Amino acid sequence: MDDQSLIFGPGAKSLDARVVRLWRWHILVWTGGLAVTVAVAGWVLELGSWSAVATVAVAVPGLLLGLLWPRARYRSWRFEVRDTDVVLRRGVWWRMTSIVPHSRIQHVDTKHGPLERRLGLSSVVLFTAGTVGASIEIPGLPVGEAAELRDLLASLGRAGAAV
Amino acid sequence: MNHGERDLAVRQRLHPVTVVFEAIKIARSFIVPVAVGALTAARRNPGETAMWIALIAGVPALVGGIAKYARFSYEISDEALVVDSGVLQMQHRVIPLASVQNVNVRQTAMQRMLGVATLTVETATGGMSAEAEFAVLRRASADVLLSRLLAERRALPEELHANAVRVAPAGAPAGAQETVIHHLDPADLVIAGATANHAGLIIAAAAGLVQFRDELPYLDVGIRQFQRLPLDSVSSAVLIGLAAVAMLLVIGWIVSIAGCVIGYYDFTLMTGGQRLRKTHGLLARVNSTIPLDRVQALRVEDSFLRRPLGLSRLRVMTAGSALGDMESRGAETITPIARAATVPCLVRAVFPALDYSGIVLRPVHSRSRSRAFTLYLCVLLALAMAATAWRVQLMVIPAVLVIPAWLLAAWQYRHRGYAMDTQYVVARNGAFNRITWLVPEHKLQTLHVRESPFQRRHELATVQLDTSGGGRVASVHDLAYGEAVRLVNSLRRGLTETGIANQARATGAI
Repeated sequence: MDDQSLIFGPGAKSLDARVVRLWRWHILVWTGGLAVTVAVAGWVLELGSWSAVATVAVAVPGLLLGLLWPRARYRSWRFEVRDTDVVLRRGVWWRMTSIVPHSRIQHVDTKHGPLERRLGLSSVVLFTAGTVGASIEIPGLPVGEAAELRDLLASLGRAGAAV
Repeated sequence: MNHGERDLAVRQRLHPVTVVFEAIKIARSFIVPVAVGALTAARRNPGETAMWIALIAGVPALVGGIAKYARFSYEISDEALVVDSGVLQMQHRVIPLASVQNVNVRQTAMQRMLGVATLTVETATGGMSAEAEFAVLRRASADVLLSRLLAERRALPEELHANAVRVAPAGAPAGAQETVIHHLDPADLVIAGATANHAGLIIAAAAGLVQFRDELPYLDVGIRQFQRLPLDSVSSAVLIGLAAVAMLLVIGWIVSIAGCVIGYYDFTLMTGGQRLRKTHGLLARVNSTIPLDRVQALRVEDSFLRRPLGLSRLRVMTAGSALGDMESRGAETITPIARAATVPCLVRAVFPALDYSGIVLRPVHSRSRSRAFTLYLCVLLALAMAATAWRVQLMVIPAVLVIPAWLLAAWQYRHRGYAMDTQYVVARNGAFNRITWLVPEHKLQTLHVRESPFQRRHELATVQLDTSGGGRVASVHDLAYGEAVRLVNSLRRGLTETGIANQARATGAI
């Protein structure tokens, strides 16, 4: 990551490494569901060996994606809470760097689904009055850290939210 | 963080009757399959059908209702409203009271009988639904919550308060002096209509072609059996097609002119009392007011038809209007047409501190041109491959198009640029329909630097200047990456102060 120093200071953080496992599970569940659907459809339509081919054609790319994508996505994530704003950078192919000033934060969420709860992870979502930046999510933080970040950002945003 | 334990003492819940309302809401989503099932099965076995309905719709509804009631809790402090909700996807939401925009208390007939109410809280976040919904609260608790949420807003400074009001009163403000700054004659409107809507014309022509294709069988067969057909029948078919397209274009053009003259008849733009007011229309007279503090951005649009004539259209993006399609959402026309000489004056009416004629745009990076050209080459290559597969001679067409592709890329590059004024950012792009965005720095919400894989190959990036205007977002395409980062870094300094201070500075209130 050559050009990080242009954006981030010493306080830059990455996500919790457990998020890789979370995303792998997500992809695994989706791939599994899709493969089973294809297999059942093939069996119902009596496609014979073609159904096996189709199932493999779905499952193998899915598994490959699950192997490579979560780690790459995890590596692409950086964020930092600075004095006056939050800066985030993410994206493997399409990369996006966003600056969210504290004064523009309308409200803050933490949320966690069943799988995240098992891994002890939680997401923080920042809401602004903007259009493309209306909601910005920081996934895969340890539960305690997410709650701290949420309360910090909510108290900073309180200083003066503006439209 | 002992948040959970500390909160227990002050945590509040919904009214227990929530379970019933939520269960009804969930059951309602089962209504179609259940009704279909009941209608087909009830005749044969009414008792069993009733049981199945209860099992399929009733049990999930009841479980959902209880789960919602059990999971939903809230807390209000002097600073923020905190809401916990969601059964599987658990959510913990903190809404600072300063960002509460709207609070509504509603009661249905059934809720009134039970003495409960639904309270919704909205912030400036542009969502379809409310940011927090309390369904249902005891009526008295709803009133208490409402007054606590609004107490904070009353304490806010006046500048912010003006923004918190969502619907501006229509008509002229009492006592404000208004001056007419722009008026259009029917002749102007004919020009506006004649040069507008070129996209519409092309679509009309394309639609005409598709429609007439059935009646021109030769056009379809023409290319494949070119040699076998007598020449005059092919050429006559082509001629008929061209004539039809030309006729459609002329009709579309006349409709566009008539629409413009009728819609914008006697267009008058007035300014006064921190508002713009416009009146227009021959049949239905439109009278609309635009409060200047709600303007998020101004766009000067000059399409390629109008540029040689020195004509532009001006539109503002305003906050809070969520209706309309993506393209025109929040966009309000300031004038359908203006001569180049009057544009700076109109811009000054919206942004008093901005000198439009004095703006000097900086070009984006010249690699922008090669990137666009590479993209077009790829498209042409794909076309060439498809053409070769069909008939080798057709490869000539993509080959000939290489030069126009380069010209197009160069043309687009020439119409891109950006500038930074003391309080405004200017971004221009679009070759066919060139849009010059004028964005006040204090209206910026978030800043984004986007890099597509193709841009990264050329070390380019796009800067998005996000405001709450909705619809399309002002952006500067294809800056060198370092320059893009420098741009957002210099802009973020303007965003560090609170909105109140910024707004006061911009409107000259202090």
